[in-house]
Amino acid sequence: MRDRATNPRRHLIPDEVETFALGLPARPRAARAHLGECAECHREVESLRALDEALSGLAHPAPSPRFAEQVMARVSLRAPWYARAWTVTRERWVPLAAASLALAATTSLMALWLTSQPELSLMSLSGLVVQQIRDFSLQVVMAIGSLLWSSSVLRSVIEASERIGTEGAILLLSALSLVTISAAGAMMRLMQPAPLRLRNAA
Amino acid sequence: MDYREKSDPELVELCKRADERAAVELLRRFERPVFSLIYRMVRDRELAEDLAQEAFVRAFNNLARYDPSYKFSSWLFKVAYNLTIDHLRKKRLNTVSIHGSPSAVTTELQAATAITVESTEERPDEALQSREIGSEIEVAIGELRQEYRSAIILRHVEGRSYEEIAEIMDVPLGTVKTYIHRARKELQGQLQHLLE
Ligand SMILES: [Zn+2]
Repeated sequence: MRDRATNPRRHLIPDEVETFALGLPARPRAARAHLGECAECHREVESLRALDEALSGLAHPAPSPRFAEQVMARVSLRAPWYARAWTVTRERWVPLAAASLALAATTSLMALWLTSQPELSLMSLSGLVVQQIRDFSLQVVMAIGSLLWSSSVLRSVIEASERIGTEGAILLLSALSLVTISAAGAMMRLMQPAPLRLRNAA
Repeated sequence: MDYREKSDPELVELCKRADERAAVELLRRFERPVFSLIYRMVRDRELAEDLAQEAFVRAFNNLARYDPSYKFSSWLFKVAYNLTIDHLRKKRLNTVSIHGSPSAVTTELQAATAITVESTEERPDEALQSREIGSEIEVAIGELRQEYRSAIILRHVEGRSYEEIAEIMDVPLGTVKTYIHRARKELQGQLQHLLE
């Protein structure tokens, strides 16, 4: 192979013919030496050069003048949410800055007021909030439970689980978690856009 | 902001942020190359215009799927090429089912000859000659097999690299080289009197 590559007596391979015809950068010395001596290869290079000139000189016919307009009428460019948020921020920064300042001022004032009330410590305040949340969630759970019980959904579920036994319940749970995992996987795959392949598999 | 001075990747980025003027600039840059590739593939102006329109619409509406490690123009050509090939394949199926023979396609190719060349500042007789030479070359291109035709146009008319052509046509590099080599041999044979 090396012998072929350095031998100035062999004819040019198609890649080398193209390199000389199109004036591409890498032109090996041995091939150039051969080209100087071989009329056949010289003819091939010149023929390809002429063909390239003829083809590269062909016109690029234009579509109708309304082409761009017709395309744009059917195009809907959509920016991702963070880009849209950034555009909005740049375009309406004055009202946005005013709103943020007002929010910061209100929060600071409230914090100041809270620290100025000795009987309303931050600890007792947060305790109160947690208490409220706990009460509310308990009420919600109880409401759902009574609803399920009264609608006999829960009852039928319990009856069914008694019938299928512990092994059955474990099997059912494993099947359910398998379905959940594959659904999550499918969702993840859907969220990643696949590279566009318009061509039918042929 | 002067959009004409922006690079293709910059314009694509702007398009992704829903900048319509960037899309219009990309259209201005590539409408002729994309349209003429399709036109030379299907040899029907109206059909070429419809397919080119569809190619741009799909490319712009699917920019989220564009992989920026490829040239935008290669991707656009790929969308256009695939659309056109799909169309030609369906049409060939229809032709075969109606007439029972694929030879009907070639008569249409024979009839379709002139892709008119706009003359610039040549003298009238030179303009006429260049149009005739142009159309003779167009006829010879039109008689090539579809794969050879697309490959040779992408290489010599559009100046694409072998790697880009392989990506656009979705075939191995060696296949592209074979297509182009054979297309050249056929054209050199047909156009011998013009190329000397
Ligand atoms: Zn030689």
